[in-house]
Amino acid sequence: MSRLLVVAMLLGGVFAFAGCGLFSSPQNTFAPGGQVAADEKNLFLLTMWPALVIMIGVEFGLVWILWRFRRKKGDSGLPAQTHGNNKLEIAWTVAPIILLALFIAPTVGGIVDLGRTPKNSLEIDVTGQRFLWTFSYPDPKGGPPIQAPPEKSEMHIPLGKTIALKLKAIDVNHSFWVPKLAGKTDAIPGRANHMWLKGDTLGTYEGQCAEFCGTGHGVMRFKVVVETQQDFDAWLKAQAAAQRTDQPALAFQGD
Amino acid sequence: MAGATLTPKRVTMADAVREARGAAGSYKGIWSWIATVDHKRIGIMYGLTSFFFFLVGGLEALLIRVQLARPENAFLSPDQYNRIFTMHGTTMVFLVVMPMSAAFFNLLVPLMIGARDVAFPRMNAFSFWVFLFGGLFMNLSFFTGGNILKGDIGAPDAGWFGYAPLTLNKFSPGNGVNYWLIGLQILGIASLAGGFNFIVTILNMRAPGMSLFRMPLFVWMTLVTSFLLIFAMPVIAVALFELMFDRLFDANFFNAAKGGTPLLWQHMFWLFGHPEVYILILPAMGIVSEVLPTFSRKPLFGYPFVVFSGVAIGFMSWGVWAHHMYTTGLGSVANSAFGISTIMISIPTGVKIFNWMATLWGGSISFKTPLYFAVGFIAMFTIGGLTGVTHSIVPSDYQQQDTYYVVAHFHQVLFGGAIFGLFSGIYYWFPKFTGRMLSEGWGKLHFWLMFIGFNLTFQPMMVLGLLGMPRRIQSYPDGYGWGFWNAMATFGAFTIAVSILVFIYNVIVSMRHGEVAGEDPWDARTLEWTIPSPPPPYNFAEIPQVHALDDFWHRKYAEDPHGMPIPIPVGASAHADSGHGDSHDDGHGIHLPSPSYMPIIAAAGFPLIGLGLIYDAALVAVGAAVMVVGLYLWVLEPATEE
Repeated sequence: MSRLLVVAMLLGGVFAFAGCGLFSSPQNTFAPGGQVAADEKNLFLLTMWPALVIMIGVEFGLVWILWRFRRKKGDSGLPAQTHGNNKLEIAWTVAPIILLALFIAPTVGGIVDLGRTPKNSLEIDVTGQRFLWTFSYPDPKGGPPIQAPPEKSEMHIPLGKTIALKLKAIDVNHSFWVPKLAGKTDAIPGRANHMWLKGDTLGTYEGQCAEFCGTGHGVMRFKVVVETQQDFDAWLKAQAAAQRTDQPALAFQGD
Repeated sequence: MAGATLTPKRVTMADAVREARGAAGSYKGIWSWIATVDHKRIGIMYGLTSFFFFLVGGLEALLIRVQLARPENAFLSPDQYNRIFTMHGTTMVFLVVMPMSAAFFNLLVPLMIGARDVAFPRMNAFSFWVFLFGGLFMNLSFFTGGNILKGDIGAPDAGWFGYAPLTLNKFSPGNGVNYWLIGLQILGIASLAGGFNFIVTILNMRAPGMSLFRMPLFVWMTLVTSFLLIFAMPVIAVALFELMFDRLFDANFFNAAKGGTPLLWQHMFWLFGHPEVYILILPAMGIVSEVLPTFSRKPLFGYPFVVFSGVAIGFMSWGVWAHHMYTTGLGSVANSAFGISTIMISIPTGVKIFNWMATLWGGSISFKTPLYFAVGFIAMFTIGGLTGVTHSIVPSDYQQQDTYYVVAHFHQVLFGGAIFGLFSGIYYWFPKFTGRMLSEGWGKLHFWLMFIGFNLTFQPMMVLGLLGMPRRIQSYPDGYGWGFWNAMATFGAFTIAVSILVFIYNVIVSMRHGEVAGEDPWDARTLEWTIPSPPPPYNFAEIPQVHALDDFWHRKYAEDPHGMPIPIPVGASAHADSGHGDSHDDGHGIHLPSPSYMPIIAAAGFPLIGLGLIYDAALVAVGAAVMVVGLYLWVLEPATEE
């Protein structure tokens, strides 16, 4: 088994070295484009490294024990019948408690940070329905909400500004997820959920529904365009203008 | 019932009746299986049935893997894909791991505690038949979608977790979800009957001298699992009844459009669902705790700690359900509380892993197939446990929730853990119940193929999840970096399939030509190895007197002052008095519960009621009548003729 592990590690090394392409994706949670996704990635790494160390320790320890205490040819006796050791038991109960307790503060801190929407955020109403997302913006001039064109399933946001999302669903559960910008929050019929995110790098990000919602679940995709404030303002203005000529506003039915 | 009763020498009417019943229940022919109340035969039927469903669920897994092998594949339509993955999950949880664990409870618990059967033998048979009918009922749904040969399958399509409101008629029309919810309801009855039976059996039927802390660890884990079952199944039963009322009678529990509460389903499902995870894993932990001591020739290290960590897991499993719901908007306080409780539940699990390793430490380890699978369990379950810890870091879980990272995690626990543990048990106890050893060569080939295949299948899924691939999508576009890892997982899945074929071949060959096992082929420690293989119907000619934990080991070996074992010559045992009285060696005069047809009749009512609920209320009345008649005759029937 130890030989197998060495082979596995070598293979892993080869992949890591030669195949950077194997670890890239437009939805890679390890390549954040915004603060929220970056914080979440760092929290993951905070547990991943100790977990990896423990895993390697346990797996190699296991293989070593098996090798060290294997019954050799010609062995006929029996080993000492040890029944336990209370000090050891206390040690391997308390040590993990201490290690794990260290994770509590960053976890709770992260929950509170992500649960509290920053002030002066741009508020966008997001509605999930089978099988697309619609986005509604407040009119800076105080008029009726401005709809992004639903057929495009595209949300535009200004660079570096915190965005407060109000999530609703009109048919079944959905989950709003832009892996490079932020972890997911569910959109559930009959209630409004809230999350916030921030785009810190210009670009177009891939998003996807993450709660199973039926036959179109796999294609319930959308995009988030992070653009400069000027570009965003221009885009919003254009949507407002288009909406005025397209009256009445699009109303979508669940199927 | 626990004590043997001496038969009078004079031949009485009762003797004649017993002889006749003995011929009818002569352990030959199909009818003797249908009427059996023998826990060993029920255990074998549980095992065979769950293995059949394992093949069905495995086939479904292969269909999923073929569909996902490359980007933009169209092997299955989205609709077919949804039905297949729903049935894969439902089958593997409810029709494979749970009943295969029940098979081990049935086969082993009475033998390990020195009893002649379970407390309620007919209820035990009832439990099996209800399970069988429930499983068949649910799979019947495949044939209700039109022409199955053309790919029109009617199976449920809303996921094994059945989140409302997707399960409502409006979004899941047809009868698939009805079969699913009624099928689960029926299976829950089987689980409840089994759970109560094993609690009573373990608490009341132990041989004299077998105090709770002399029970083998597997029996302890059975007890904890049974308590989890009797508390968890009612929760999902309520949830399923509410869903049934919504779907069949237009009630309004979950329909938000009329003021219902979709989130209520998730709370109830996971309040059942997380204890369920431990219902699936604790029996395998019990098996591993029996296998490791035997093959390292040492007692289980820290027995009381392993027992109490199992009990602690049982209690704590009730306080972590909302970690399945971090993203549903429960708020920061709830997420923090459930994050912390999830962090803490890893501690008793870690204690078990350390104790298993300490059991191997200092041993004289024989590398037999059961040990391979037990070690595979520790190796893979460790990864499952550690990835579980990463889920407790709530903000990071906002990313991993509902991705392939989670799929990798729970297969690490339920396949790398539960299935490896169950195979360890199959290899370990196969000789006890068939009288023959499974081939070591084929067994090790099975292990290595399954171990390599498992890692090729599920480790790539961790990468996929971190690369942002969500679960339950029928297809994915090219250019997302997911093709390579999915292809690898598919290759791994077929490797696992080959390993299962090796196992089947091994069983078939070994049943005919395997080495004859004898009573105690492994130099084992617990009571089941004191009796012949396969055990006689009455198990123990005389109920054993138990003097210690690992009682059988202490009959074979004494310990010198340094803790070194010294073999005790055969026949010179300090407890020879407890052994084999000559008067009962042929099993005459031992009262056994009589075979009964009533359990299967009563059980047959449930699928009829289910079909009635779906198609025609008149059938409900027929089903109820069948059940009531079965139960009524059951009550009137004497448990043993006298």
